[in-house]
Amino acid sequence: MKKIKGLMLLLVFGLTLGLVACQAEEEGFNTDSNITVYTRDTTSGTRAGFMGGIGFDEAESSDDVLVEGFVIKDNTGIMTSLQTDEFGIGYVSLSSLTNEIKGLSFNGVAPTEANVINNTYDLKRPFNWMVRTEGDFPSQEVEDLVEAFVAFLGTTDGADIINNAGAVALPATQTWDDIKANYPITEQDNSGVTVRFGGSDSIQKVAEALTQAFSAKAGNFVADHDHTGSSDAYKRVVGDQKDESVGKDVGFASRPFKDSELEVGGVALPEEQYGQLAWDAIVAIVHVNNPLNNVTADDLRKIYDGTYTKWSDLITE
Amino acid sequence: MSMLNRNKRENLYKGITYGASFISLGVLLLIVGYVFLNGFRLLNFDLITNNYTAVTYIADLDEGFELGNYTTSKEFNEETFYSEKWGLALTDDTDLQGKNVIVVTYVHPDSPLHTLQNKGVGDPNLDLRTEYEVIRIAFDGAASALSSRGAENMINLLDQQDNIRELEFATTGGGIRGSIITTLYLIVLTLVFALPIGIGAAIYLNEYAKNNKFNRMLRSFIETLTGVPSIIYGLMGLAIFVPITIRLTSATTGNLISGSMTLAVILLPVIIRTTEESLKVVPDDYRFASLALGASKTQTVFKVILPNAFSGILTATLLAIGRIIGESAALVFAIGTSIKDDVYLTDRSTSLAVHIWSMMTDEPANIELSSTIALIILMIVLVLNISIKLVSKRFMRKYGVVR
Repeated sequence: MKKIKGLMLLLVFGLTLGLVACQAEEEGFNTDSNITVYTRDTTSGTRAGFMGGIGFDEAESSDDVLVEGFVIKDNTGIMTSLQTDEFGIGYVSLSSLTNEIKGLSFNGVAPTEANVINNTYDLKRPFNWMVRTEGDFPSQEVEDLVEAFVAFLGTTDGADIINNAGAVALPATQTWDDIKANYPITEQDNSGVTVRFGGSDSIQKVAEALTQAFSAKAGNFVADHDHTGSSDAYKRVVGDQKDESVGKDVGFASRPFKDSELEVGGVALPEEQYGQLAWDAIVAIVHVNNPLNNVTADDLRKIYDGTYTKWSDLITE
Repeated sequence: MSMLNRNKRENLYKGITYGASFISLGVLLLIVGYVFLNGFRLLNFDLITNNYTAVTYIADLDEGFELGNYTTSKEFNEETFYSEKWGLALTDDTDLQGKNVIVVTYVHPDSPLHTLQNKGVGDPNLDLRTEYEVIRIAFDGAASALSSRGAENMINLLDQQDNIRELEFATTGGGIRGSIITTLYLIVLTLVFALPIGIGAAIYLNEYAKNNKFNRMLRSFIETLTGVPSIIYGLMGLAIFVPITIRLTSATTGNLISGSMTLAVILLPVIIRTTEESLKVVPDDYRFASLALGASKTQTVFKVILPNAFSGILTATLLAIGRIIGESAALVFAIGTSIKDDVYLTDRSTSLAVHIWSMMTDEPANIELSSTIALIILMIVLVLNISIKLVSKRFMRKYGVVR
């Protein structure tokens, strides 16, 4: 028995040592290495924003045009891969950026919130909202609350919450105090009213922060969040799933709405039914050992379409 | 020569079995170690007892407040910043989910922030207490102080202002109390649906069914079902059980009952198979002896066979519970993914496994909290395991069954 215990200990030690040893080897960056290209899948709003932003529109919805051997991962997958894969390149939203990876400047402009607000950082995507058609809400209270919520999105108070949650709000001048008299519904106790929110996963944190703040301002209504992807913003708010159990009152999309999503049965949606609430910057990321600091749209396009396959194509010393 | 060879060969085989068991043990230890190392930091009692939804308050200063020189003899650590002008100390901290927040550490008894006016609906008087998280402070004609910029920044901005327009603060949210309750509900409800049907089916198959083509087909069907991915069952639950429960109960969406029904269907093959195995190992002599004593077939089955198969049935139950706790894909469809604090049978809510899923789909994923929840799941399974063992021991003693 003692022997077995000893062996067990040895084995655990061995495994740990092995793991540590695997991570320990680090040397200078070898530019002759092949680039490993990481991407999100075609349903991702981040991918649509990134590919559109680098002028590679065909790649928004098709994997066939990408370089051979690309790797598809989700947001977390890309982040963790690029902490270990020295020769990889990928992209994440600005709010995800950490010190464990290196975010690249785009066309010479650093990926910072300030540069998104002053409109110099170009690789970005809109966060959009969409609400149900007038008279199609579960109740008049919900309809009034949603109308007030949309108004709240355009106030400085809403903008604060959006910025605090990691996205970049659109400029606003009015405060909620200036306009709240127009929305009498917010002065009554709404704790029995549930408003359903859904759509993009990428916007979930921002949306939750917004509803949490707005609920305090609007009679403590209950915000039910169920985020399943940008496409569901249209489908579950005005599209064919709107009357099913998954229907939503407010939907969010982390990409521009497609033309097909701005109409129902051939009739265009009225403009007050959708809009933008914020910007989210997308950042090209590499391993921290990578000497690269800046990329252009052209560089990224050439990496993703396979013109550049080695880092030496891009890094000239 | 041949003896040596045989010896060597036996040692080799022995070595392989030793190696195999050590590798599996090593891998299991690594997983537990990974979960523990990642999740331990966030593990505390508050996480288990707190609500997920934080309550936010929106407040205004009382009329005629006074700014002063609120000195305090209290000593604060490096992460705490104190404003003598406002009598408020704020600290950078992380909340239950590991997110950076600003926590109120101290409010001077005479501070204008001590008694506040509620700008929202409800009790008109608010009280900024310690442990609250400050989300933002808005001023007239100046940029707001936001919690994401840190406590030092917030105190600095506050010190520059003589009035505030509004103060937003919240209770600590992010707890998993609701998900734990949902998981326990799901376990009980699913077992209520699945055990009678599963055990009944197993008794039929093992004790009553003739060895004919139909019954053989039935068995292979059941066996095939274990290989169906659970997400398919989830879709079935969404298509069949959700509408049924909406029809029959006050539910309007996917709910706990439809989720339990879906899980029950997933569990049936496991329960039937394991129970059948345990019925099979009851010696035929018992059956013959019981029948010879004049007991009917039904009496034999329920009075003799079932008590003897009890430990096997408990194993089936335990496997089922493990599956209920671990199942996520099916539940995403059959119940939904919204995290709830008030759990009702006819409403949506989230089990612990789906809570992990929901933390992992955040951008960026919350691996720490997910590990913490995994750790809690491991502990729940361990507790259930031990208690079921105890129950089975008592039960066996009562029936005089010795194994």
